[in-house]
Amino acid sequence: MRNSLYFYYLTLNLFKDKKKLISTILISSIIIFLLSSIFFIQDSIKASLKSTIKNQPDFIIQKNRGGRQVDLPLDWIDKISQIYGVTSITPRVYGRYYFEDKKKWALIIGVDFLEDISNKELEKIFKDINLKEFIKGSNMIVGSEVYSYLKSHFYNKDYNFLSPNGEFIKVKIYKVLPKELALNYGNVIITSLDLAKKILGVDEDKISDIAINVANKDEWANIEDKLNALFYDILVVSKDDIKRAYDNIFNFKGGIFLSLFLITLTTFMLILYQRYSLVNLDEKKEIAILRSLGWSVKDILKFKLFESLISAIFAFLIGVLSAYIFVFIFNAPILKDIFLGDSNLKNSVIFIRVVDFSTIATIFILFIIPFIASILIPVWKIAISSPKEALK
Amino acid sequence: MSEILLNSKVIVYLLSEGILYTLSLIGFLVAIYLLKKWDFSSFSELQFRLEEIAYLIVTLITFIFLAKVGLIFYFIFTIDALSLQVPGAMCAAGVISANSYGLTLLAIKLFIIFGLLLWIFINYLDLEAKNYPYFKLKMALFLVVFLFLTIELTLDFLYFLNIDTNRPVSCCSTLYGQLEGANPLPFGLDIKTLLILFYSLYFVTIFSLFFRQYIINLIATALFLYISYYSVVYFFGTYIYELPTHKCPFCMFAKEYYYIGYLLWGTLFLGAFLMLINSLIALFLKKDIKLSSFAQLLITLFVIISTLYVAIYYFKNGVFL
Amino acid sequence: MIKIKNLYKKFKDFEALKSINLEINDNEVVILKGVSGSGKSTLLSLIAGFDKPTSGVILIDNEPISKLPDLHLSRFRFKNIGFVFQNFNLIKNLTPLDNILAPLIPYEKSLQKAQKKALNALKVANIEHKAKEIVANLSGGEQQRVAIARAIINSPKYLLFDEPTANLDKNNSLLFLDLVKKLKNLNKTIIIATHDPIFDKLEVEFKTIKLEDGRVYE
Repeated sequence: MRNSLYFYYLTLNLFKDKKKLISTILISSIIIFLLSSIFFIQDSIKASLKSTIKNQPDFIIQKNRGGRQVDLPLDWIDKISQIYGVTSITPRVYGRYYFEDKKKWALIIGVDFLEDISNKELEKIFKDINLKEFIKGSNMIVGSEVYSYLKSHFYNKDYNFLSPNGEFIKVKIYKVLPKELALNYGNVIITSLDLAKKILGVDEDKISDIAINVANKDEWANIEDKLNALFYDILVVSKDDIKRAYDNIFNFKGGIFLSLFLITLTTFMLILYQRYSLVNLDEKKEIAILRSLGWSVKDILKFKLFESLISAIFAFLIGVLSAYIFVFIFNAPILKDIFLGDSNLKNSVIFIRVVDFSTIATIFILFIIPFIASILIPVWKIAISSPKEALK
Repeated sequence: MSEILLNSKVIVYLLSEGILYTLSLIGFLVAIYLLKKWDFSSFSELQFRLEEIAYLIVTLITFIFLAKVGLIFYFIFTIDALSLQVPGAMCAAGVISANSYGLTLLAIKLFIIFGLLLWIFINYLDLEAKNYPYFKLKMALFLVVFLFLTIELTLDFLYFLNIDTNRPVSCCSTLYGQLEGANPLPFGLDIKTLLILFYSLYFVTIFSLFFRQYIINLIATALFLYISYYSVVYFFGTYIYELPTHKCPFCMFAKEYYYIGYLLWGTLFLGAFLMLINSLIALFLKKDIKLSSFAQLLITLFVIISTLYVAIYYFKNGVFL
Repeated sequence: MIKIKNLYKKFKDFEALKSINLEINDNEVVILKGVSGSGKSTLLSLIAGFDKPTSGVILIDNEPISKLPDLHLSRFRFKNIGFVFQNFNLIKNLTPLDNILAPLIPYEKSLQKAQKKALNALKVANIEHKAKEIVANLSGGEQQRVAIARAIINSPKYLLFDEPTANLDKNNSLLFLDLVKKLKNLNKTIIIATHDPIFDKLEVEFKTIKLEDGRVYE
């Protein structure tokens, strides 16, 4: 490269017209920046969800009446455990708890610590906790957003929950979950199973739903049939169903962003087309001179396209890099709110760093093909400037 | 609307195909104009202008070719990623057979790349000569390629619009596996004769060029391409996966197999395409475009990689699968 | 050797060149004389292949250049023809060295080889000492010598000059005449389109071709 005449002259030419170079790189890199940010956020959220789903139980069994989910009796557990192939059964209690102003809510999850903890992510959280002590007292583990909400209302050590039957239950904040888990556990409160029942007003002999695991994936369809045969008002949700639902939600959101982006992209193409079409006389004359010196149309086309390609690649690197910094270091202000919405507790999500080769390839294709497509015809038009123009 | 259309990779892919088609449409209109007015013997201003306009087509086609090569990989990549969204699909094999358009689409894509590559070499010969001897030929060839580009774009949309995310598809194990003892190989071949054919066709392709037997080379290369497909899917592939029952042309694109599919299929198709183009041009245009040694190298590389998988497995385990 | 047979060039209704027949031998110096509008610049640009004739043939070393496709014409021009424009046509914000590399870009790979060639050409044109200054800061005479260096960088056989002394003072014009002598001694065939009488002082043997209203008067 050092000793390449072609490369030398290419750089010489690029930096000759700095204004043009900078403006092209600037608009291109803004486009790439926006695009990459959206993709990075989407990928990051997807990765978080994926790891959550991976830790989810294989099936969730709910009781359904008139389309509404209702609590189900404890004795279902015994019946389900009779089904051959079911490896673990976990009763679960959870529900939304609305705080005083009734605008914000947190998800209360009751965990039966005596049974297997079906959620592997939670398993990690409980590893360094003294379980016996935790269950004995009136304790809770809260997500980072719940904690900041409580603190802003001066509940620094404990909180008085109001149960549906009107009594106050004082619960101590035992631990705060790390911010990295905020996307999935930001507005979660974890308590023991019995405490959760009290706060949410679930009957002693009832639970919200049952999570089961089935080791052999080939048996899934079979187990689902058996469960449906066992209870008439049952809803069985498999891990795959949840996964697909999530995937579609985020593809949909990404789709909206992408269609917005298509409009921007069209504008970008028009700007580029115009920029490259508006050839000043100097530039035309320069091409004419080169042709008079023995450059063919082919040589000029190649040279001009190389020149554009270099600025495109520069813009690409700048755009992707700044998006990386924006999303993963500054945590994507503004864009984040658009993506996640702020209907529940304030989003203080930290995006986990996932940069996939396929995402980079997608961004590259989405940028480079429109880029080249819009400059091809203008570049050809300049390239055929007749050498006789040089005589003028 | 299909959920598949909301996948960002699919949108990007379709958008790119759309843009490329628009460019080829411009090229098509220009090509028709050129064919109508072209008269190389004329000294008119118009003829000199047409010679400059012809460069627009060269530029467009070169770009379309490069983009199409990139996009065929991206296409495989995309449908491989879609296997998460289509129930039952474990890799691209399941997704591509999610409806009847997929495999036709893939075949047309390969054919278009072949056509464009052929065009680029004829154009090279045309420009190197001093009187544009192949001008009409290359424009006619482009019109044919354009027809296929139109079919391709139609199939692109038909294919992605008709992937049902609720209907489970079969995957490679059932698509390529031997069901009830039925022989999936063509002409009732068994694995042994398939391999004999594979290696002997390889030698015929390589040696026919030394004796300038282009007709034999054309036939042998085409057959070699055909037999190679089956050999990789039903024999060499099983050594890549180290599993005698795993028969799939697509899984080898995955990370678990170090993306070897891209190299393996890439060397095979590029080598065979260049070989075919070299012989076609030698036979019909009587020109040597000096591609034969590069094509031989690629095909040899393909054969070596395939064979190495078997050899390495044998050395490691002392048995064949 | 350049052979021109029955050459015509029309611009819309205006006939710039009419029935030109010429032969220019190797290593000859030819002065194309005529007032502006007589067609000498048009003839020069047709010989260089910048423009196409309406009819007729131009053979340079037996190559019919007016019917060559662009790719071959460009290669031919690169190998055989050096052209020096009246206004020099240099890229003003580059150095002479970088300026005269331009013709080599599509043909030469190595930067070092190209720079060596370029310095050589600058030496022949007597402008080696200004190789690394910015062109815009050079005088007219110096710029012309850079343009000449660019024209001879690939040692072409034919050198064409369009009004070479139009932008020079008398002193520089005389220096140019010396340079023509030097170039002829380097075995070049030189064609100069001019209406400047100073060329009568040229110290080498030369042929004058007079153009009037697009016709040759000998």
